[in-house]
Amino acid sequence: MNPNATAARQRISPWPVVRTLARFTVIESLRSRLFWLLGLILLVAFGAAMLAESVSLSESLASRLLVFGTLLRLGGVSLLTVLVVTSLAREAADRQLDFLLAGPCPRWAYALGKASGFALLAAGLAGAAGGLAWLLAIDAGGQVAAWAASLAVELLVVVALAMMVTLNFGQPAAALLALALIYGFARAAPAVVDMARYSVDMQHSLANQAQWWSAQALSWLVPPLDRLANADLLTGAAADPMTLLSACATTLAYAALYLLVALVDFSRRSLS
Amino acid sequence: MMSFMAAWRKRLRAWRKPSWLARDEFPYSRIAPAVRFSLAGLFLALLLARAMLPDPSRDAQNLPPPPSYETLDVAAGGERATMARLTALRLQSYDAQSGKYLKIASLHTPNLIAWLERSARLDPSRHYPYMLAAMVYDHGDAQRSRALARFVTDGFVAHPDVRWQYLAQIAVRIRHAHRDPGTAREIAAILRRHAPASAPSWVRQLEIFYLEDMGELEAARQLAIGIIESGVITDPAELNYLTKNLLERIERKQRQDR
Repeated sequence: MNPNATAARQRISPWPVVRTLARFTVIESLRSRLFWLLGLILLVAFGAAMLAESVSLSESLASRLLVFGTLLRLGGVSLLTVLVVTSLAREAADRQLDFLLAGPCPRWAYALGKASGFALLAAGLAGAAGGLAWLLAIDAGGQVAAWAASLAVELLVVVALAMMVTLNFGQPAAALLALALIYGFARAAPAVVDMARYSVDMQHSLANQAQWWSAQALSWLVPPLDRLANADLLTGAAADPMTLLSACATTLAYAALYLLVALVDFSRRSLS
Repeated sequence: MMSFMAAWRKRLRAWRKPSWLARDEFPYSRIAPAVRFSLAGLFLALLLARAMLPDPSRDAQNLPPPPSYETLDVAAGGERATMARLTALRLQSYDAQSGKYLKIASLHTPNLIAWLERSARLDPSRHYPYMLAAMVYDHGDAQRSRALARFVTDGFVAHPDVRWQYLAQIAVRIRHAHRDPGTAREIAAILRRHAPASAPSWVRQLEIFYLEDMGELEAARQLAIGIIESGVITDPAELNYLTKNLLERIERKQRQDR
């Protein structure tokens, strides 16, 4: 490596790069019609929620909120996933990445800058969803703030996960498929572990134990998303605050883990 | 020996990934130690935390009510047969929850029936939920058995071909384990009316035995005569048993009663 270049990198602080990258990530997403897409998702969720309310015979308010919360959660996750994957893949394909890294930008600063930009978007999405949910749930006494905060945490881990698979695979199709599988498993992991506990023809055998252990081990690789941002928080179902808090903390730790994995993979990649 | 090991070591060191597998990558040693160590540390800490701390949402809870049929139908996205099977499998996992076993008899009966009904309604052509009802969940009190009998009866009337065996099993259990010949006789009557030709003839004769048990000898006699005269039974040995053994025994009891 050129000693002058190394010296130059060390002299220049990378933090402005992180800030600029975060800013441009947000601007790029806004220019890819984020508001329109978000508006569309909110509109569809709102319409479906109103439909559910109008056809419910009882507890119609709960039906409205449950449908709204579930659809917004799914819509937010899908929207953010596609944004992250396409943004990272496009930068790599356009060789913008090579251009950036040729300057005084360490790889960790690139990863952190992109992650911060997407995290801001995640917070914005969760805020918008929470605002509309608050309007809808105004007379249900639901814990809208808790729901929106846990939705933000879920969106954050989705950002980290999307960065991990995209920086590793490089191909958008492979990344999206992997994301769908991992996210789906994270939502269903406890049920899968329960089902793996018991198998008919090999009860209490080593094979059954191995089956259960492997399901359990796989479930430890994903955050406990089944306990996060559940729509029944909106309906005022009493959620244990400690459970929610511990789920949020665990999920944030997983987000950090995925980002570190992404950084390691990204740092090892040779762009030449 | 040493030279053999050394040769292998040399060969291993010289090994390269085949070109289609290799990616142009820097070695791990290039990664900053802070990143490497925090990754390893965080990963281990998370694994330990997940393994040590109990999962608060997974306390052994008694069987909750299932999702509504409409919810399952929408979630199935057209794959109703798969959803029916998954619903049944999900139900089965409730008596074997993570580390904590619930006794099958302690499961909440109305919810249990609701789970079975969801599965059966999602895929009416399968016998799995009826098999579960008769062979797995028919434990506990008479009320559970009677509720399961009602569920299996509905399925049996719709598809008698295979399901007669499940209903017969519940009838026998209600008669002998719960000593409730009245309900057992009602089930046996349904079995007699709807049992398919492929079912063994004792299925159609079960009602006679239960009537005899209950002391309703005349009804049992009439039923036995009816079955003999209907010509359903063609096996001479069986006919002989019905007339000589069963019918004569009932008539003997009737004479003694008088």
